[in-house]
Amino acid sequence: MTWARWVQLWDRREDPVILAIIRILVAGVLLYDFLWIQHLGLVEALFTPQEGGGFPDVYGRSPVPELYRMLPGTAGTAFAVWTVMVVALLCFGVGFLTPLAGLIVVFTSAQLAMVLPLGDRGIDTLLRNVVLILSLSSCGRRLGVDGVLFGVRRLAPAWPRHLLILQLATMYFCAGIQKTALSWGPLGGFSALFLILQDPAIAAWRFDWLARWYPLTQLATVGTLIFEWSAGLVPLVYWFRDTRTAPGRLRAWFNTARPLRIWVALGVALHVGIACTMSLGIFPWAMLALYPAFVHPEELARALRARLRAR
Amino acid sequence: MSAAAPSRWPAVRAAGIAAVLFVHGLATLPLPHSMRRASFDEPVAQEELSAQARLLRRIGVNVTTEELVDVMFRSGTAWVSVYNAVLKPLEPAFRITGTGQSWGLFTYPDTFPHQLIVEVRSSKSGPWVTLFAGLDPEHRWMRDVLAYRRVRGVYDGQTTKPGASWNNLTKWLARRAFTEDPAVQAVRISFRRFHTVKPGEPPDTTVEAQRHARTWARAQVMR
Repeated sequence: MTWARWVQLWDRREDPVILAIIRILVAGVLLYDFLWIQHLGLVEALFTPQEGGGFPDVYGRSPVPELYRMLPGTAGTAFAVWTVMVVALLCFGVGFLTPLAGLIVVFTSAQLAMVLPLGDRGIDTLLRNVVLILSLSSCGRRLGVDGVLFGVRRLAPAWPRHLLILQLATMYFCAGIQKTALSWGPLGGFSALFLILQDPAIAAWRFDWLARWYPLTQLATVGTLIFEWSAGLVPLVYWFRDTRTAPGRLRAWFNTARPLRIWVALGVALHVGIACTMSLGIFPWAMLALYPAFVHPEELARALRARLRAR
Repeated sequence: MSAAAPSRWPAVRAAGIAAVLFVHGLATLPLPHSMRRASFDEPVAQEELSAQARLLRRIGVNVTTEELVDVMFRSGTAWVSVYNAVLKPLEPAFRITGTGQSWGLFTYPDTFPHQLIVEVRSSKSGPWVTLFAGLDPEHRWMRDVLAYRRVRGVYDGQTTKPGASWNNLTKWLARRAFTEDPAVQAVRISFRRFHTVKPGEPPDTTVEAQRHARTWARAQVMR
């Protein structure tokens, strides 16, 4: 790929409506998570140093998070930071001063991750990556207050959506190739999902009866691996789509069979399955909140037009 | 009037994206960020390594589990040096934004999982009564709290070597139990470790054990 083509690739424009939808969904999921913390009475416990009554050993680690270098390690500080997070998420969700609100979400979430690293999961890292990208996009100028205040944008840089796609593909592919335990493969009898569902810290319910349905869990293990490994092909799908006029049977097949739709459907099934069987909190919903990235704004517009015509 | 000069912005942006992709691309490489020799002594690691060594012997590579551990530790340590040399300078940026690309999700399903158990008793010599046991439908005290992902991370992440936050969590749970029931005089929080085997394999109860128990008396907590 030449430099000119690389520049052109990241200089494309499209309606930022998809980014706006992702913004709203991500903010909604995170807002739910933080309100749930308050509902459970965990703000103090999770985010106050042990000296103030919480779980985290903030001052026993190095470096001490900036938050507790600048502010006292009290429950009051924890509540203040929780409030900042909730307000920032609300602003981000409604698209009010979106870039600023998004950056506050990222930096506050990062501080909270440093306060209690064990409580910060992979999904939190992924959502910080995503919110950072969205903060640098025009997502607040569509379906948001920023559109009302500063003018709606119907054409904006497409690179943030492309980066989100790349992020999702990378995450799945890397998760797939790192599943190196024998239980994920034939030598371990594809027993990984069966074993995971026996773990009381992960399973949502008791699955001791699952031995009778062992082949089903083996099939689901294989399905998970196929889905994650094939994420490595997602950039190729987009490349073939972008060069559809070029020759090649593989390219033609990819462009007619639409394998991306099947892959996305598999992903939805995977996350709905996780939501029904595992106690992983916002993980499956946050992942699904990012799936609109696979829809081109034009596809969405076409679908909406077709729906209107059908009425 | 001459035409406006083409904007340099697209090229600057493309260069920025290339730099970000390069850095995050390196960060995605599934290389260990740190190595601990003791990690190889964990039962789940030992089970996995023994199976891998057996497999290698079957295909003609004569290696013992100990030799395999040595090779893995040495190569892992080498990778850690590479990681540190390339990505260490960028760590402050990753740290302050909390961003990253480590996606090892369920890499090794735990065949020696731990069940969290909370018990109380009303007198010094009285029987322990179970309030909570992970996944036990009859003992669901504070289930929503203990199943919440961030709280689960605190205890499930410390089953090997409990740190300060395990003590703090158990003390906090004890305080909740003492506050809810004035008759409770002591609270014990522990893990029950067991061995999950595949269907068809004989059950293994030899490793079942209560681990990392913390017992709190009312006087210690409710001062």
